[in-house]
Amino acid sequence: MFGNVFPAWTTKVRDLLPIALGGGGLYVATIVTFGFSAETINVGFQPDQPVAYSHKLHAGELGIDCRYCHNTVDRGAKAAIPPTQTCMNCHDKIWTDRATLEPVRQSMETGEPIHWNRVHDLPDYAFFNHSAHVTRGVGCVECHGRVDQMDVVRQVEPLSMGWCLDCHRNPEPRLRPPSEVTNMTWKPEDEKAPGTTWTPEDQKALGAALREARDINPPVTACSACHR
Amino acid sequence: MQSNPKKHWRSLAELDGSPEFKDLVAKEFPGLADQDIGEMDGVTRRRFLQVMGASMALAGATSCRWEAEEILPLTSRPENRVPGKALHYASALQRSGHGVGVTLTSYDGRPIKVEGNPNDPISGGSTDVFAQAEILSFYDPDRSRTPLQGGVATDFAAFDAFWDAHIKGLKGTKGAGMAFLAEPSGSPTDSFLQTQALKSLKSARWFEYEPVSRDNELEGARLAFGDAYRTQYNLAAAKVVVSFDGDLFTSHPAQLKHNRDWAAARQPNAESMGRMYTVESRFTTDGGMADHRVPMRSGDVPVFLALVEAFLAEDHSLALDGGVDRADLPKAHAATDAAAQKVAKAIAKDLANNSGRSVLAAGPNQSAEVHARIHHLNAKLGNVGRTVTYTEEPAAKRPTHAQAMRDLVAAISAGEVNTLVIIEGNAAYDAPADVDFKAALAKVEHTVHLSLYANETSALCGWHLPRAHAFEAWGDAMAWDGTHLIGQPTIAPLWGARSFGEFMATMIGGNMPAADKMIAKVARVTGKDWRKAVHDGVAPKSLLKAKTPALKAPSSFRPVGAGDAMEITFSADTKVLDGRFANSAWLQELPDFMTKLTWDNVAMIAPATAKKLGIEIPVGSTANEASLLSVTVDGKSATLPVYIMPGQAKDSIALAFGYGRTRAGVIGGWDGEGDQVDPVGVDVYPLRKAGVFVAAGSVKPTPGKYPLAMTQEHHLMDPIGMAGVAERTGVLLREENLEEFDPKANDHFRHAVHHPKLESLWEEKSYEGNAWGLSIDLGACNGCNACVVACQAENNIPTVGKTQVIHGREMHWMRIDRYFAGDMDAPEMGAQPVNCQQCEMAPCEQVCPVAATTHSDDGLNDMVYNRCVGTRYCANNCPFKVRRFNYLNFHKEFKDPHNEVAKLGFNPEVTVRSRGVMEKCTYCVQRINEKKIEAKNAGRPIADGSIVTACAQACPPQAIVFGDKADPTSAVSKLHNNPRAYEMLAELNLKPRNSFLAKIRNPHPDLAMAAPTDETTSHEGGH
Repeated sequence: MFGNVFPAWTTKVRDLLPIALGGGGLYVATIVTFGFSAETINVGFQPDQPVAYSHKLHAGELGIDCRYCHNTVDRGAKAAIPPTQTCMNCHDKIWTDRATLEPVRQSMETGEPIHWNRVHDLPDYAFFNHSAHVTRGVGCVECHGRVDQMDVVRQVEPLSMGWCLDCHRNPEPRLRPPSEVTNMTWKPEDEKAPGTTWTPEDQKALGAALREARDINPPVTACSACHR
Repeated sequence: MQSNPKKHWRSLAELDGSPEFKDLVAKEFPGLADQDIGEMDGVTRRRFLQVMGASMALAGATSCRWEAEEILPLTSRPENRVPGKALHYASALQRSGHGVGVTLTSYDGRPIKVEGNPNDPISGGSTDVFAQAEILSFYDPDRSRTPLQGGVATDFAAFDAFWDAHIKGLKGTKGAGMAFLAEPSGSPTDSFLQTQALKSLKSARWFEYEPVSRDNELEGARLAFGDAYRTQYNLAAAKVVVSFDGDLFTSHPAQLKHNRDWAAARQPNAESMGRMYTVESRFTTDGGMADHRVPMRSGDVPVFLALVEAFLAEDHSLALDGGVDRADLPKAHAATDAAAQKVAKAIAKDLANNSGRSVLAAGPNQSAEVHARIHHLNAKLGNVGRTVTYTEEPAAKRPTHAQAMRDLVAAISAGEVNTLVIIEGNAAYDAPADVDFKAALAKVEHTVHLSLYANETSALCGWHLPRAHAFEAWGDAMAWDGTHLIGQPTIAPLWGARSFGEFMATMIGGNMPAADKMIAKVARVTGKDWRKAVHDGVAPKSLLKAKTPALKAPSSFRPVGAGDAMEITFSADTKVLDGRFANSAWLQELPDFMTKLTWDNVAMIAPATAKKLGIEIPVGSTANEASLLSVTVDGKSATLPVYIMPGQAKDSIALAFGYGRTRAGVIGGWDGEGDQVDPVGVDVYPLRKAGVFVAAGSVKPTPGKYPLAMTQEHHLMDPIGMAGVAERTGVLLREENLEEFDPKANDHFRHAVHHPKLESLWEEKSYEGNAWGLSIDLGACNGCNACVVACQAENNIPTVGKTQVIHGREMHWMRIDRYFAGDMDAPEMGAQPVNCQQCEMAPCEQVCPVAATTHSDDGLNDMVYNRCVGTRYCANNCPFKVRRFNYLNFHKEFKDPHNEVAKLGFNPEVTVRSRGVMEKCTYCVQRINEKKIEAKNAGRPIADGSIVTACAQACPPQAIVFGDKADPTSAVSKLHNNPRAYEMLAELNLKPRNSFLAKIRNPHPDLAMAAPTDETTSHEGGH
């Protein structure tokens, strides 16, 4: 009876339908899981900036400390993009006629801020505090990567909640002496006594000692630590 | 104590115990099921699916990453400025010529929160609702943005072109034909500028007008002393306070100090605890705080005062010249009946026994004779120099405001004025009924109005100029006690605007010094001292000298009381004042501390008067439907909804000014260009003659009903609402009389409720480290609402509008439950602020299907907005009814470019919630985190008292204390162990972090009356 209603080719469709549905579902799941993940969407985000400022040159080759420009990083929630004045501290003496610096000079002259494009952009419902991390000995490099090797800054970590919690649950491997937070090349081995060998036990002990010294108990289950 | 508890009730419907009321209590969100769902009105299922389909399709089309953001650093950053970190600046506000010292919290250059300035001796760090709501007014999109000429937008250049030429002409004639109409200013610099401007305009005349003035007080001082002096009360040293027609804690410019001082004097202690009596017509805070409150028509209050005097003479030989014998007082009168006699006798006894330790005070509605008599009595009782002192009165020389208005209109009518400059104020709206200001204004050729808003008066003026807000300009003001407050600008004017000083400079000419230099000159401070004065917000020199004025011989005092006609009393509204705050949605939606009414004004009548007029108490499903009453005074009528107010004096109708505005803005009412907005409430100024506060009138019920948005029956935590637990649920607000109170009996109030051994249904967690807790002293709380608005400002809490309030959707995280106890004609009142109790065993958390509300390590009950899917199970399961749900997107209007400025007022530390999300008090977790991070960065423990929640910071009597309960030395721990401490609904094993201190009343032993008992909540045996 149904044969009269449905043409013969629909039989084939009926046979293929489970495969199509199953495959389609799997396809969507895969796309959503990997395509929409923080790693895919956020890592590698590298917007163009209005000024061709190079961290590689300033922080890397010239060795200017991060805190020369981002000087509120250990005092406030925001590391803060430096005011134009900070650029001009040097650049009213050197490279005063470079075309690349024209927007900076113009900003200083007119008082109009430079419109920088934000690279590391947390959602507005997440309240991150830089000072709480750098004063405890979490290095800049842990979240921002080797900025000293970037001409144009790019996001290297997903900055997702799971990624934050990885460290909050187990902070020891990411801690360093607070004096070394801006050091891009610091390794735990640097802390060993001369003439000794660095063992995984030393690594653990260092982490534990650093945690103990600064009384570091990162909130793990306290939602309100970051969301309020 | 619980063997004979008072029956507490919140509304007449509850007292009545109607079945409709019981039904209402059983519903979590009353009226929800049987109503439309707001803005989805008219949206069919089919249309909804279409919309949803479209948004799903669009979701794929947008970029994978969210909207890119820009960062705009300053070109050069000022010293001490850390982006994203709050700075605090002292500033000074003014209201009716009285300074209010405030501290502004500024984020990245934007003021976002007002706190009291601890250096201002009146504020002491606390604020009232008006100061808290000032942020909303500051960013009000309806504030005037451009000068108007004949109602058409123009610019300052156009005005200056006209004005410069015009002033030149006026100077030629020494200002002949020029007049100023200003609202009173408390700024010494403004006075200085006024004097300077009038130097070259010698013939110009200056008038000051304020609709709700304290002129009776000034006149009273003139009667008593021959000159006006200002009375300063020191309630901290008082043991007995008698308030005649409430004012001390309600409308007095020093009410913040009064509240703080009196809370200190009210520590329950048999030797020193203060006692308060209030005799008044309208239920005010003074009445709420009183141990004995006698409701009485305002016109009868003087008779009661004479009765007290008569008892002082008769029983204690403290006769005052000009007094009247008890036998000669009016007979068969409400002020001299048996009950009144008993109270008056007790008051006289208390006053005589506490010579030098009492305070008598009269409200601004009472006549000059009453004020004068009070001065004599305070002297007679030895209070002067101890609890009552005097200073100079800066307004001593000016005529009364009523007279000034009459004089101005007379001058205009006589053709003596061709240029009228109006500074702030809104006389076209609030001028007395018997003075036709509007007609007079129309006769003046050149009119200029400098004001924050283009209001009713601006609409009738030739020119309107936007005035700079106090946050935008240098300013100073005088606090009630003479402290010279200094205010610095914290932000450049949002739109072009002129300050009073800048405007006056256009008349003075020559090289005017900069505003700050001028204030420094007036304050007589220089250099470092000036910098300190700006930093502290207070200049070192007081502006008022202490005085010890000599009393004149008292004149005869033979009051006869109000006549037979219905008494109509007028007062400034508790929320919008004289109308100036009508466009503040925070204040309009604030439930009045007594009526719990939002978005309206009413005719308040006593239950007995209602009965007489045949008006029924609205209950149940029609509880919002108020009857209408037509009130007539001298031939002028207004029709208002009726509010039957327990404790209102019989045959006295209380009306509040400030409503029925037609040029306030999109909140308060607008009939000008653009979208029309109906006025909020009814304007009662047309009923009121110059200088009158109490009038004789008539009333007539009018057919029809009017919906009122009251919150008193929302969010009930009612014993009867909880099925089957009536026997084991004690009263929520616990209280006791001083006589019964035993300070040594610890946990006495905690054990007021019998319950079986508490056992948990699930594993109990224990918390280490900080344990944040809040303590609220119910003995000190007067229900003033400052905490409610402070919380709203701090936590970006939206307003929802009248319709939504009627649906029970108001969003305040903190509410104040107002309870009455006893007889509905003369009840006692108690206020209980209720916020999230941060239960350690939180029932809301157990029912959330998505773990959007969970506990933090330090025991806070966190709410994660982004996880919330809006099931509302948590609100349903919360026994305290403190969770609020965003039924609609209440921030939607900010998307309009005209309104975008209002976004600047948000606290950037707190998420702005959207539709479909549950929210509630967080204990100001953003403040906790800030201090915690600061302390940890510095490697030190968090100091007790360094974290202050917004509610605790604002509280005038300092009833709210926040801190770490885990630290046994913290203030909150000590209060937690106070013999008065108890937790609400502790019998449900919730382990709330909030504790309350029970209210202790201190009735006069001679007046102890048997309280009516409530059988359902009393328990046999007691403790």
